[in-house]
Amino acid sequence: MDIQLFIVILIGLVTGIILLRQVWHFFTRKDNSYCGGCNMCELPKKDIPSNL
Amino acid sequence: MRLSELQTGQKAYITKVNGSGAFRKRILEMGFVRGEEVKSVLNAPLKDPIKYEIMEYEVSLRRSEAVMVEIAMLAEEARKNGMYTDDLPATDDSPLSALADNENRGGLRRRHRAGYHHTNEKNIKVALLGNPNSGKTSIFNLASGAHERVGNYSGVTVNAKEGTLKHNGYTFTLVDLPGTYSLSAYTPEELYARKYMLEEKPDVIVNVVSASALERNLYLTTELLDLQVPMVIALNMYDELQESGRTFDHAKFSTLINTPIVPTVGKRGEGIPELLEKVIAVYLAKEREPVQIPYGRVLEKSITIMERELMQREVENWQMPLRYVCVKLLEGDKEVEGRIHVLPGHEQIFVRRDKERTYIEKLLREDPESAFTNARYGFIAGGLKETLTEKIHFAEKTKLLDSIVTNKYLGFPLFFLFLWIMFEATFRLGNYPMEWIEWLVAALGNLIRNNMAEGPLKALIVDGIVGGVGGVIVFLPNIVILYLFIAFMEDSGYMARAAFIMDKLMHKIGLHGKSFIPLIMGFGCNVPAIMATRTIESRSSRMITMLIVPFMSCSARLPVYILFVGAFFPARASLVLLGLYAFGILIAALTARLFRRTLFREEETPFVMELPPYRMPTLKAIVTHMWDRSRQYLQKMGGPILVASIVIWFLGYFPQDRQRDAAFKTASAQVESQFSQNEISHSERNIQLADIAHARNTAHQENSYIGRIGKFMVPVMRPLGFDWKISVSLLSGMAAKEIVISTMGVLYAGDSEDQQSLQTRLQAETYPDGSPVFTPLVITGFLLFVLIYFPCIATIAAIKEESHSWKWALFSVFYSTGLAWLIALVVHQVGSLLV
Repeated sequence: MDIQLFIVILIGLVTGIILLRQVWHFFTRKDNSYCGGCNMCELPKKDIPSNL
Repeated sequence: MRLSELQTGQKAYITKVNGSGAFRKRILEMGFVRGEEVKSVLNAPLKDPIKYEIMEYEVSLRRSEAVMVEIAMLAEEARKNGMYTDDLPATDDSPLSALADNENRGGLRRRHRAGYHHTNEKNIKVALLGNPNSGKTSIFNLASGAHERVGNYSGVTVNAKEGTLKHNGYTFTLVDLPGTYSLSAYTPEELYARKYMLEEKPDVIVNVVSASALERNLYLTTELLDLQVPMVIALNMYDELQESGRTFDHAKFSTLINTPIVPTVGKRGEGIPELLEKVIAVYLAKEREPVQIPYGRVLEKSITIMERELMQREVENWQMPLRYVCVKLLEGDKEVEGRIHVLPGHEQIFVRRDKERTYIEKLLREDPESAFTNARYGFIAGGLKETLTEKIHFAEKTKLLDSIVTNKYLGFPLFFLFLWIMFEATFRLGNYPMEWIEWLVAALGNLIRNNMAEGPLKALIVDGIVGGVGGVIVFLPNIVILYLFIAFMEDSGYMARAAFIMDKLMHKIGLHGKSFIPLIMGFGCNVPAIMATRTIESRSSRMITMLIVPFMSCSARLPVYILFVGAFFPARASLVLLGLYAFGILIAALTARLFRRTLFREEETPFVMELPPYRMPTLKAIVTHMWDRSRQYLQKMGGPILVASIVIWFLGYFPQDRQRDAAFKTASAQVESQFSQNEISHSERNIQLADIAHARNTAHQENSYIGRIGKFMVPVMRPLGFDWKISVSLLSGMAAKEIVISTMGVLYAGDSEDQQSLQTRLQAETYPDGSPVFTPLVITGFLLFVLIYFPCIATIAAIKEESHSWKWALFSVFYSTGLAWLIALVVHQVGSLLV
C-alpha cells in the first residue's frame, strides 16, 4: 500500500476515535473547562427555591 | 418624603423601608436601614436609575424602587431648601447608631464552644467568602497561583474554584466562593455559597472584607459570627483605606469580635503569608470563644423564648447553632421555615414564632427582618465608632469620571465611541501581525507543497491542516486586541457604568441593567456570559438574558467577520464590524421584548447594583487576561479546529474516482501535446491547464462526501444565495465558529501551485458561468447568518446547565437558526429586487 495513504488512514482512525470520544463526553460528562472545574456545580433541583 | 424625591447632591436619613420580599431584604442588607445617611449622587443619562451613596459605597436604584424608601432630610439640607426643621433627626449621629452604641457598651456576651475536630491535621480546607467585588479571587489567584477571572464589578465568580498551596508544612485547599452580601439566598450563586458553607463545613473561613466599604462588608461578618464558624477576616484593599487618610484599629476591632483580622492588598499579594499563618492558628485552636451579636433586649427575649421552644426538637442535626436557627426563624427565612415544617409539632412552633414577631413589631415599631438587620448594623457601627477614624482625603477620581461617562449628553456617545475604538483597533492594529502570520502560513504551505511527493498525505497536510488551521490562526492578534479592551472594561469599573446607563433601555425590553453585564461579556465568549446570568435574581429575567446572550457576537465569530470584511469591504471595515455587533444587540433586544410578552410574563425584578470605584487595571492583570485568551485560542487550534479540519478534508478528499481523474489527465496531456506541437501559445496552455485543474477540483469536490452533504442542503440554503460550500461551512461551524473558516480554508483550496491567503481565494471564487460566488448581498446575508445562528455546542451545553433543561437549549438552537435563516432570506430576496 502507498505509504502516504497508509499514514492518512492512520490519521483518519485517530481523528475518528477523538471525535467519537468527544461526542461521548458531550452526552456523558459535564464540561468544566470554562469554569476551572470542581465538584460543587450541581445544585440539586429540589434545593432551588421556586423563585430562583 | 421619598428617596426618589431627593435632589442630586442632597443628603437625608432613612426613616423607613417599605415594600416586601427579596427586594426589601436585599436593600436592607445593603445598608438601607433606618437612621442611615444617604446621598443622591447623580442620575443616569435617561434620568433613571439614580446613583446613591450610602455607607461609603455607591449603589444604583431605579426611581420606582427609591420611592419605597422613606427619608427625612438632614437639618442643614432642609435649611438650604427652605424647609421647616421641626422633627428632623439631628445631624451629629443617627438614632440607630446611638441605640446600638448603648446596647454594645453593655458588653459582648461570649459563649464557650468546643473547637472543630480535624481528621487530617496537615490539610486545611479554607473557603473564601465575602461581598461581591471584595477581591476574593485576587487573593485566591495569588495564594494558589491560579489564573481565575477577576474584574472590577460584582458577580465575576459564579462558581466555586478550588486551588491548593503549601505553607509551613500545611496543605491548603482553597475554595473561592461566589460573592454574597449575606447568607440569605436570593440568587443561585448566593444560594450556592450558603449551601457550601453549611454542608461542606470548611475547616476555616476566610471572610474577605473590602476596607473601602467596611461597614457594609461587615454585615456578612455578623452573620458568620452568628453561625459560629472558625473564621479569619482578610481586610482587603487596605491600601485604599490608608490612601483615604483613615486609620483603623483593626487589632481592637478584632478583640471586640474575637476574630483575627489581617490587612491584605490582594492585587499585590501583601498580607497573604500573615493571613495563612492566622488560618493555621485558628485551625489549630482547640477551643474558640465566638462572640455573640447582641440584638437588644426585645429581640434577645424573643430569641431565648424560641430557643426554649426548639430545645427539645431535633434541630441539633442541622449543623447550625440553635441561636442562629431561632434568629432566622424570627426573620422569616424560607429555608429554615421549610425545615421546621417537617418537625413534629411544628404548628406550635409557628404559633409561638408568630406571637414573638407580633411582639417585636409592637415594641420596636418595625418588622423583625428590619429589626435584626438594624441591630446588626448597629453592632457594626458601635464597633467602628471606636476603631475607625473619619476620611481625610476624599477620592474625587470616581466622581469626576462618573460625571463624564454617565453624563446625560456624553454617556451614550462615549460608550459607542469606546466600542468603535475597540473595533477599529481590533481590525486596523490587528491587521499588521495578521499579515505576518498569513505570510508565515503561506510560506509553510509552499515549503511542503514544493518538497513533498504527490499523494494523499501531502494533500492532507497542505489543504487540510495548513489550509484549515492556518486559516484560523492568523486571527490570533485580533482576538488578543479585542480581549485587551474587554479586560480594560472589566477591570476598570466601566462595565458596571455601562449597565447603569443602559438600564432605562433595558427596562424597555423587560430586563434591567444587570442583564447588560452578561451581554457585554458575551462579546468575549458566550459560555461564561451565560454562566454570569446567575447574578440575576429573577428566573424569568435570567432565562431571557440566557436566551439572548448568543446574539452577542463572541470573539469566535470575529475571525469570520474580519476575513470577509477585509476581503470585500476593507474601506469601511470598522463601521461594518460595529454595524454587525449593533445588529446583534438589536436582535437581542427585540427577542427579549418578544419573550417577555409571550414566554416569560412574570414581573421584572428591581435594579439594585453596586457601582464599584474606578480602579486602574494593573499591567499584570491585563497581560494575564490576554495571555489566558491567547493560550485558549491556540489550544483550540490544536484541538477542535485541527480535528474539524482533518474531518472536513477527509470528507472532501474521498471517495476518489479513478475514471474521472484519468479523463482529466488525458485532457491535460492533450493540452501539453498541443503546446509541444506549437498549436497553442504558452499563455493559452497555462489558461487551459488552469481551467482543467479547476474543473477537476470542482467535479471532485461536488462528488465527494462533503459535496453530497452540501448538495443535500442546497435546496434550503439556495434561497439565501449560498452555494453548497458556504452551506457546509455553516454546518461545520455549529461545533465552533472558527471552524467556518477552517472549512472554507479546506473547501476553497484555490491555486494548487501556490499557497494564497484565504481572502484572495474567496475573492477569486466563481460559479462555472464566471459570476462571483460572493456578491455583496450574499456576504451580508452570510455575515448576518453567522452572527445570529447559534454560536457553538459549548454555549448550548451551558444553556442546558444553567436552565436545568434540554428543552431551553434546543429551543435556543431552533430559534436562533430559524431566525438567522429568515433574516438571510429577507436580505437576499429583498436585496435582489432592489439591486
